[in-house]
Parts: sequence; structure tokens; C-alpha cells
Amino acid sequence: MSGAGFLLDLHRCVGCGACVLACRIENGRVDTSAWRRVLPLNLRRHPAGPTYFLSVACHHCEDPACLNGCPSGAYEKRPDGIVVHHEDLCLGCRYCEMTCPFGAPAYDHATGVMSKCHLCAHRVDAGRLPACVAACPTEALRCAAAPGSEAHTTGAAVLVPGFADPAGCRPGLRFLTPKGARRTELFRSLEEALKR
Amino acid sequence: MTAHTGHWPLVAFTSLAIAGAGLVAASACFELLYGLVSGRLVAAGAGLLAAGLLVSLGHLGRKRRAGLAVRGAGRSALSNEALAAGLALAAATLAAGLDLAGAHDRAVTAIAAAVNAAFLVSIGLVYRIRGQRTWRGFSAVTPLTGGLAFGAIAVQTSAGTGDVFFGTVLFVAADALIFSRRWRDVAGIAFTEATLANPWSIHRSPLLGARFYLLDVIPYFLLAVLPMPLAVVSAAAGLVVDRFGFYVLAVQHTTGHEIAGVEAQIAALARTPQD
Repeated sequence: MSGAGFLLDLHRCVGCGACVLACRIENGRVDTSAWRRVLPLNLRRHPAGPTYFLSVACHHCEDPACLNGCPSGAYEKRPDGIVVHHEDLCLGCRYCEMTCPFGAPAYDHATGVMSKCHLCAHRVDAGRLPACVAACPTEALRCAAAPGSEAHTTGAAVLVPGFADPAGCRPGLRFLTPKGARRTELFRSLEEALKR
Repeated sequence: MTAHTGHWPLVAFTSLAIAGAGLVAASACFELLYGLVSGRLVAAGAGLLAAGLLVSLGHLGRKRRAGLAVRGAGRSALSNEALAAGLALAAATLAAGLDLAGAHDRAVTAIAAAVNAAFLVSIGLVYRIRGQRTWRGFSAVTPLTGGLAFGAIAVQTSAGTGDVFFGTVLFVAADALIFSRRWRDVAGIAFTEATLANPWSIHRSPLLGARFYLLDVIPYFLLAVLPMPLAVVSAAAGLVVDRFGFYVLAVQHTTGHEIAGVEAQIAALARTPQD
């Protein structure tokens, strides 16, 4: 893992959407498409599977499909692993929208260029947390590279049902899943069912 | 690709570009095989290609930055395609210009054919995207085979002979074979909530079938029975349907689709009576 990215504790996330709102406000994206989304799984609470919320944005992949495909070199991976998009170089061809398997780049009809989460690079450079992480009331969403984050990864699943990496981009998103009996109860049935 | 992506300029661009480059490449092949020299067909191919490139600007959010598209050459498949398109147009224009000026050069025509064929390959490679389920496998080859089939049909019609050239049979048969594999690949994708949300996915077989008959079957029989321009019209319509189908049947992997799939499986489990 390149260092940049997020750590999401599926047991703590309650799907409140504070991260989405914080991202919108911080990056001035109130009237346009959001960079962060909260995707609920099994909201109807079928007993056959777990219910959880995936708070997703750009995963700042180790091998980003957006960067590799961009014809104008508008994407850049910083030394700290953050994948940033330079709007002044963007053609608005939307090829990154096709290549990203996570639907992270968003087309802005007003400006005619793409945009995406930059992990609040301006805040990170100033030694602050990204707005979404800072706003999370349950501390479910954390920076993967933040001090102490590694300590929480014991027993974490890199990929959970509902999150796949078909393009082999190695996304910088890690999940913390409930441990022990709780994890067994929540995940086993679904994981086994999905293997069939 | 979604309805918001605005794929019409892409349909028009790729249809025109594939028809143009296919015409240039097929014209040169027929010149080498049968000595059919036609600078006007090569010029028509160059014109279609130029029109396609102009139309391609339509899908750019920032058209004035189009020149930046080749910055990623060697890394980005889209940059490679843009570079190949420029070279293909230049080579075709040169070959047509020399021929129309009475200084036909066989080597230049052969180079134009090779560059235009390379451009057709580059179009296919742009869409070889991991995670795009309907653009896998043989889909990457269909711009080349479809373009050559269209070009062969146009050259054959232009020649106006009663017999169908073996070259035409070869190009059309190759396209039919490759496309039938793509048809099978796409038709084999299981319907999911995400694919059913796209009305074209439900009608994918008629759409793919229309392309197959319009580009390969009908023109071939029209040429075999009674050579006439209608064969070119049918093949051109087949190319447009091909490109339209290519974009509207796209099934892109996204986390949202993945979750929808898992939810459908959970719902199915919930409905299944436990033993």
C-alpha cells in the first residue's frame, strides 16, 4: 500500500453522511456531484446477510487506472501516494470515468472537466486531517496513513462483499470488519453464500 | 458508460473513422491483390476520417485543449489512438493527393494502408478496459475487421464487377467470425439489476443481430446477386449500429453495481427456504 487512502470501520459506520457533507462544504461542491458517497448494503436487513455502509470516494490506488489512461497527463500521484487531478490539463474526454472501476472521477458539466477527491491535499499538507475524516462522528473513517491506523488493521479484510477490484488497481481503501463471534455472525453466511 | 456520458459524438466519431480508415486500408489491399487503383476511394476514406476527427471534438468538455491528447503517448491507449489517427489521416491524404495528381506511388499507398490498419487496432485497444464486461476479448478486434469489411464492400461496389473478389469474401467472413464471437460473449453475460436498468441490454440480441446482418450478411448477398450501392449503404448502417451497440451495451464495473449484485444475492438467499 502506498500510504494514502482510507480506513473504514464497517462496524462503526452508521451511514450518517457527515463525511459526504463535509467533503461538499470543504471542496465547494454543494451544487454539483459529490466526490464521496455512502453506499448502504442490505438496508432492508435481510437476515441472510450483513448490513453495512460503504463510505467511498477516490481510493488513491497504487496503480491508478485514471492516471494510466489519461491522455493529457492530468493525473499525478504525489510522493505521499495521493492521486491528484489537475483541472487545467483536463480535456474533459471522460476516459477516466470509463477506466475507473470505482466510479470516482466525476464530470462537472459547468466547467467541462473531471474532478475527484484529492484527499484534501491542502489540509494534509497543513498537517490536518481530510474533511471527511475530521467530520466522522464515530471515527469510522480514518486516514490509512494516520499514526495508529495500522494498529487497528488486525483482522481486517482488505476486500469485503460489495467491494471488488476487478481492474487490479490496488485501491488504498482498507476495511475494519467486526471481529470474533460478531464477524462470524455477520460475514460468514454471506461469504459462504457468495462462494457458491 | 451511462446515459449522461453523451456517447453520440463517440458513435459518430468511431463510425466515420472506422469507415474511413477501413476504406483506405482495403483500397490499398485491393490494389496490391487485384491492381485496382482508386485515388478517389482513398480520398473518400481520408475525408471520412477527417470528418470523424472533427466530430470527436464534440465529446470533449474542453475542445481547445484537444492538442493535449497526445501527451500520454506510449502510456495512454487514448493518446496512442489520437496519435495514430493523425498519422493515418496524413498518410491517407498524401496517398490520395499523389494519386489524384497523377503521381501514384504504390509504396505510399501501402504505408497509408498499414498506418490506417494500425489506427483501427488502436481504436480497439482504447476500449480494452479491465472491469468493462462487454468490451472484453474479441471486441478489441471488431474495429479492424468491421472497417476492413466495410472498405472491401465499398471497393467491390466501386469496381462494379459481376464476380465477388476473394478479398471481399475474406474480409467479410473474418468480420462475421470475429463479431459472432463478440455476440456470444455479450449474450453470455447474465442479467443483473444493473444491466436490466439499461433498456438496451434487454434488447441486446436484436441489436447485435442487426449489426451482423447489416454489415456482413446483406451486403455480401447484394454484391453476389446484384452489385449495387445499396450494399455500401447497408454496410455503413451496420457500422453505425455496431458502434451504437458498443456504447449502449457497456456494462461498467462500479462499486454501486457490485453492491446491487450482492444485495440481489442476499435477497435470493432470503427467499430460499432453508432445509
